[in-house]
Amino acid sequence: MAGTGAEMLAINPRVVKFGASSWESVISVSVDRGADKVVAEISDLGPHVVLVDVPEQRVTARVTTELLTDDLGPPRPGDSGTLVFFTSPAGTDGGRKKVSMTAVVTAVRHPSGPRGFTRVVDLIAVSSDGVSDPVVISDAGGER
Amino acid sequence: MSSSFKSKDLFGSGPHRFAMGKRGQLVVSSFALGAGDASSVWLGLIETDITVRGRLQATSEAALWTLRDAVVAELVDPPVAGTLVDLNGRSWSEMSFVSYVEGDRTDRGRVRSVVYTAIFRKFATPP
Repeated sequence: MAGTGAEMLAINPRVVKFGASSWESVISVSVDRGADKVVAEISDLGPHVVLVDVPEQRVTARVTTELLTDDLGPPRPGDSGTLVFFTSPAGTDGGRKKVSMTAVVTAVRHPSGPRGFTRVVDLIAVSSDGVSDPVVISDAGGER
Repeated sequence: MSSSFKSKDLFGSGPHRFAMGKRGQLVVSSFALGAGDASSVWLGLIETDITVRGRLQATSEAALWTLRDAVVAELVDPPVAGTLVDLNGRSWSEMSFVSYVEGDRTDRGRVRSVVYTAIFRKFATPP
């Protein structure tokens, strides 16, 4: 059963795909939601906010990968594709979920850390029509 | 209490606030009137403007248009003066609805809403 997602963090997902590419050695995938525009209105009756709404919002994803070799190829900012990864609550096949979204790369960075270099890819998820949630979570079944 | 214009609750769907415009004399430069000095002259008290800024809100696109159309329907030519009442019961008589300007977009979140600025004027010579 498919559903819409909430913010999430997947640690060491076994499989992360972006378009036709399969990304290896992924350390984490995070999906965050934020408001691009917040409506907060006060009336003439008192000091408190009486209306709050979020008419413009953004779902962003960040994929952090351990770098074991040079990284000279894609992705590049502007690249578009379907980002897919799988999660499971206990690292087993039970309750595995498939998370997918159409997304566009907005940044690719290579920060260094105590364990060496990583590649950090930032993406913005795209809704098909502006109404549908861009993140789709479904039972993974036997899909790998 | 709700606000009203001619006893109609035009803005009650969403938050809105009232503000009084500048009061006092209309003062112009004597130079602008053809004199050759830097003095100025008064021409009389300016007309009272009451500005209502707020947000119309509804649960659907159609319902929001109903609210917007109801407001615009009060803009008539010549203007027909009526009593404007704010959210705290203060009222201004013989006010004419002279302009209504919406924001640059309809906001579509949990509700449909649009910001607006509506101006009412008390003409010195009522229409």
